[in-house]
Amino acid sequence: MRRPTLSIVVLLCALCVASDASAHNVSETSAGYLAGLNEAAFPLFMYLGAKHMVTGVDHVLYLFAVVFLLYVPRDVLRLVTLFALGHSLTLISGMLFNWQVNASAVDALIGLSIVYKGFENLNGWRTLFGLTPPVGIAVFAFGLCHGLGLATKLGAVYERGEGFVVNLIGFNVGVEVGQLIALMPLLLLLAWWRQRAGFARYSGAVNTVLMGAGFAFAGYHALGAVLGPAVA
Amino acid sequence: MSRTGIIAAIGCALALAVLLLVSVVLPAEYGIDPLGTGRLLGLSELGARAQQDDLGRVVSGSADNRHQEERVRFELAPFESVEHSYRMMAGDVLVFSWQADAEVVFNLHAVPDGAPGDYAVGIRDGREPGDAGAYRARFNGRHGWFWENRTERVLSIELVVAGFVSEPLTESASFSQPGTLKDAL
Repeated sequence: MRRPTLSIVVLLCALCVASDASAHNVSETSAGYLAGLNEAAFPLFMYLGAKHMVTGVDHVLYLFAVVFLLYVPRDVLRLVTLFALGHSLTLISGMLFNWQVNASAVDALIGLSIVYKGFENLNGWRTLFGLTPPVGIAVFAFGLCHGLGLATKLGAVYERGEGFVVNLIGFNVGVEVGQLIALMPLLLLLAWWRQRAGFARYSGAVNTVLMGAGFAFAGYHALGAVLGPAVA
Repeated sequence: MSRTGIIAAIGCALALAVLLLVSVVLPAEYGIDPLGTGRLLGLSELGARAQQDDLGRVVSGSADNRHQEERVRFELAPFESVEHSYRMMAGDVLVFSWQADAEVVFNLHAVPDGAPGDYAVGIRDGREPGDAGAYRARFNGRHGWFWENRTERVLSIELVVAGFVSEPLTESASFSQPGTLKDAL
């Protein structure tokens, strides 16, 4: 009788602190609850996965950068699938084999993935180096990084117990759902914007700002790695 | 975009990030303020205090309650319940641990001063052989535990409390059948 009520309370608490995305860890309330959890809770983990994706500005900015230049639905589907494959692979194996990686380093790398994509969108490889590195492979590789980040966040608060695999799959499904939720408004916004004259004009500025945000994220987490966790 | 355009874009992006990190993030998060912007924007104070908080924090006891220590033992007959509570003021802290010789249904709850009828705020509940932690009162009122013996043998519980508490009060009651009280306490 008590379990469903408890889950609802935890979900409500999680919603209340959903705005706390700056540290972007699984929230303290859910962390305390997850630490003592020893059973399958698919919907709860699915919710947490989706929430992590939607409230994670770093993941959302990367997705925005990935779809920025795409207007053919098939291309969107292809790259988003490659990204999903990449992060699912490291999320699942990182959790299953309990990889111990430095969370700050992974977060800094996720910041740099935004920089990379912004640079690629500006056609930087061709213009500066005369190179055309395959877009799909880069998206897949950075998907691996993002998945590693997901695994360190979830691994910090949730350990192997009853229902581990079910919960892990729930979290992963939630991540994909959250990714679609974040992607929909971005795609609509871009489709609308692309019709307007300003799109081409501002494309350079947008990707510059994306790179700036990526550098800022990377720097923020590099500071965290060197000076200890941010405390404010 | 042209070659120089892209190089300028990367330069702008880097400058933007470094500016943000040095002027805002470092002062607010770490109390490091190389440009003086943290002091200007009132961020350094937060960073310095946050650094201090990270080392530990002292919560002062209220003037109304003095520091008390108490060790209490309860014997619960089958289908008997006991309630043990203290008067605490908002912000006051107590550190507790209790141990029973078997699993017991419990809840930690608080009743604000002037609350109507049997109103109580549930803080923590469960069915465990013991619990321990630190509790901080959020309002003036009575704060304490309720234990219920749903077994058919005598249970004993030992509670140790230290904190800014006063007026300990123990009330016991018995209930005839385990089914008469709702399962979801």
